Amino acid sequence: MRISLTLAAILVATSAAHAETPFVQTKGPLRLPGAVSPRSLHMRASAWRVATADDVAPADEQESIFAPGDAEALALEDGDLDRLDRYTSEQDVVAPPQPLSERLILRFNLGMGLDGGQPSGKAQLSGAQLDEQEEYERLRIYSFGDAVLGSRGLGMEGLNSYLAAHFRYNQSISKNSTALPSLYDRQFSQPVVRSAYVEVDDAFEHTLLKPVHVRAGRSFQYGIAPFQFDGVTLGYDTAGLRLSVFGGQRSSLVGLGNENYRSSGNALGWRARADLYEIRRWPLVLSTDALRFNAQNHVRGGLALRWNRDVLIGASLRTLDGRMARSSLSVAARLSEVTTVNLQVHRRTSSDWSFGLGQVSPGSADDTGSDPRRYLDLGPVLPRTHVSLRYGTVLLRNIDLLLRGGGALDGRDSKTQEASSFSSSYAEGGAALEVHIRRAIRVGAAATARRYFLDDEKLTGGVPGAADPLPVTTAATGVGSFWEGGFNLVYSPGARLFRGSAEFYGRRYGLRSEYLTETLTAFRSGGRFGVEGWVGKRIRLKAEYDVTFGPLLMAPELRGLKTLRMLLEGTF
Amino acid sequence: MAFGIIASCQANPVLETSRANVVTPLRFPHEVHTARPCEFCHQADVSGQPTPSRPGQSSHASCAEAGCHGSEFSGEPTPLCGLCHDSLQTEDGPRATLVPYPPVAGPRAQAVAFSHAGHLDAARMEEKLGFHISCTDCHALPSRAEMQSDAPGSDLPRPSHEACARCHAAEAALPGSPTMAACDGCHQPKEERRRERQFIAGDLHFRHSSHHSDRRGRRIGCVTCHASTAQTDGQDRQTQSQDMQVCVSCHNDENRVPSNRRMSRCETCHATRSASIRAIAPRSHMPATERPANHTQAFRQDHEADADRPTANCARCHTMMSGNRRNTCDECHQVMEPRDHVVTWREYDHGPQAVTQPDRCTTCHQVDFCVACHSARPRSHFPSLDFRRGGHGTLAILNLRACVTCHQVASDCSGSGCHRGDGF
Repeated sequence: MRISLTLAAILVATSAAHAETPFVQTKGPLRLPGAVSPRSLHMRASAWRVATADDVAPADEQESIFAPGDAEALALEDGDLDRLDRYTSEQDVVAPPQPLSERLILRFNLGMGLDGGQPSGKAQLSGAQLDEQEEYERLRIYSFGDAVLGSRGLGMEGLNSYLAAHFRYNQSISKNSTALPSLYDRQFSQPVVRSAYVEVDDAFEHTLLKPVHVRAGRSFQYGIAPFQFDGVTLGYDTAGLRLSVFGGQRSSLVGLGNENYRSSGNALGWRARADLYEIRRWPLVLSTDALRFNAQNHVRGGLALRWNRDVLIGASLRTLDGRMARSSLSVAARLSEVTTVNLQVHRRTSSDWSFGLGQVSPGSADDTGSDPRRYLDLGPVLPRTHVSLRYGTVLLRNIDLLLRGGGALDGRDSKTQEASSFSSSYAEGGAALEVHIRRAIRVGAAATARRYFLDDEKLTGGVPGAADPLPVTTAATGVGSFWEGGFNLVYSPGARLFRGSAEFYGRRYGLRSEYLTETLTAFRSGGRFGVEGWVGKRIRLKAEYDVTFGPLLMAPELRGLKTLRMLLEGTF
Repeated sequence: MAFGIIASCQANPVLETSRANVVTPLRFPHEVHTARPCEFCHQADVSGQPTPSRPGQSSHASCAEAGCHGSEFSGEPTPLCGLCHDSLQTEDGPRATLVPYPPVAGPRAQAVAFSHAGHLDAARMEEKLGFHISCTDCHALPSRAEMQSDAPGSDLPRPSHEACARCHAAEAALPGSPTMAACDGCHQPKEERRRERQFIAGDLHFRHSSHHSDRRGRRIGCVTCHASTAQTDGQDRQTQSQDMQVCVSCHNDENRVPSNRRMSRCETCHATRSASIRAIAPRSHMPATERPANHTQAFRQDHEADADRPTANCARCHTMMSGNRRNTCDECHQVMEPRDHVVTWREYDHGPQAVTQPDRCTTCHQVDFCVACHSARPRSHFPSLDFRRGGHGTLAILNLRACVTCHQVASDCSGSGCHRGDGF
């Protein structure tokens, strides 16, 4: 305060001294005649820091733009000055040094869950009764949690670290099955480290080297396909140019060990993205990604027209070992803060992977358990074109509306390639809306309908009393139609205070089988209920109950499924 | 001459019908006047202030004497008058009142060459000029009278030419920066940008002077509300009003705002409870939103571009995130579950969805995640003996595709010695 007063007094005094020099009136250029030129252009503290009239100090040589009388006109009462001083804080633009609490991140959550399914007394579809003594555990209890520990600029400016890990500890179950299977059924306790890296950013002073950053440890890339890896990323980021090279070994997040699948090979790749609008004001964005993984080469190139800041029209191609695997076209437009349009068209070829990097066709199907296709066989990769269109907006400043449509077109060569319901054509449409009522309550509803175009000619319908032949193709088998509808209700008097929610849904599947002449209907419905509340600013308590209503077609032996999860989350 | 016109207007019975045209708001087309130097119309103010005077003083000389609009100042009022005047007469006598400038509503021209980002880049300013500036160096503090005024925005006026002149006066001679003499350093008529101003008007009331600290005395920086302004380069591209979610985030927080200033009280910002307020307030005002206004239902799927922007601050609310600027997608995608992942998802729903849109699955899951479950026998396969002996037939008939997702017909069915290739 004292310094402010002194500064202000000096400035006011100089303003009075300077004001005796009149402005020179000239007709012509909009120039400020010689009076204003400040001797010191150190704008901080601002010349607008003024003092009370009584605080005027002896004038020095500085000049000011104020006229005589300004000091009185601007004179403020005690207390005002402190208030006004806040206006001129450096913090308006230049962030102050971050306190330790901002440089260290600690989040955790710890929870307990119960999964269960009460036997109905009916036989299973196989005809056998559910044997609770030997085979079935109706209730499973488990604990789970996440921990995140990170630092930003701690110890050294530009040094960041991040550790994110998850654990789940399952009740040890000796029986063969439970109501809700999970990937933890075989290994009941397994910590998973999702990320654990150290990053150095802005380590160099030189302008050309300043954008360099290095990240080492377990981290993530979202280039050719999302994957975690243990290795190093070297990057160079400027406003218009992003380059990165990375290498290491792919890591698995399911914690089952690498021996169970063939997806943990070495990975080496690079990514580049040039926004020519930022560089040369050309409305183009060029991007390319390359990845070598498991002795296979993936390369993607993209070109996008930046119509304006919020509209991007892009096209890309991806190859796998030199063969065209996928091409895509996309339009992503944000028409306003709340209105978006997104159109995507993808066409895959027979050379594309079946399901991500870890399952690439062609590949051998063996019985050793080392090939994931052994357990996830989605049939041959067939050409298919996907189209999706989404439009979202807020009507009447309240009704959050989402409309979407899409479909896929089977693009195989019918003469040389067998149809597969894993790659059939389909068409879908859906809508969702959400409305706020009376401030703290919002109500939403959503519906989706989808129809698959299966190959009816492959239906045999079976012959009563005769043995059915083994399937030659899946073209006529699978889900033929799908309907879904639901609504939800949320009560929240304010963010980070309390939240209660209820959701109800129903799903109807039309099942088609090669051995049935009629479509079988499977309907399931359920609800999800949740409450959460904050204890202070750092602790959140949450509980969620998820339950089905009515029996399940594929599991008549159970009355239904239910799960309860309770969670405590801390943020420090 | 002007008063002569007004006098003639008053005496003219046609005035009443003409006036409607006279006050029709127009915009001055700078782009068709570029043949004239700026100072031809914007003469320096007689008081010596760096802000130039408005054209039209000295009996509209600059408009009329070049022979361009002379005739329009000698007859009945024309729409041209509406450029500058909203009224040509008063009850007290002939007098022309000027429309406010800059206009309070409607499109406003921008100084296209001005960059907030450039002016607020403290390091660059220090390096090139030896000093830096902050918001309030230009958005200067108001006088006490202005601070006490109820006029919208009067407690923090917009910068005038005087503010620019503090540094851009010719005498300052800042290297590489335009001087006040060079109008086109900031104003380029041919590229005049316009935007709709979003003023706090009508029944809204807001005072900057009451928003520099919160209830606990913690400072509220300018960028808290004007986050995008400090990053705009070349021109002010802001076309939206301030993000209401910023208001909600404080005005719904008991630690920052007292109870009588919460969002639930319309009078916090509005003078009256209008019918629309009483009915349903805008979505952006709702505490139940719990998220920024642009986080719509569509945003749940189409947020890639927004999350990729350097200004994205997902970690502010998504508590498990690192806050890093790059490669952070998985920090959410490994934690948050989509809405349709309900209790039946794992065993019954995910299959058809994965067949339909496999790309959607691979956004979060990789194949080893699938295999971890697919390689384990499901509940229906027990007791094993019953299932193998024939119990699996019913399941195979109902949902054969689920079988072949894990089992290969050639090896598991016929190759196992149970089935022949053509059946049992």
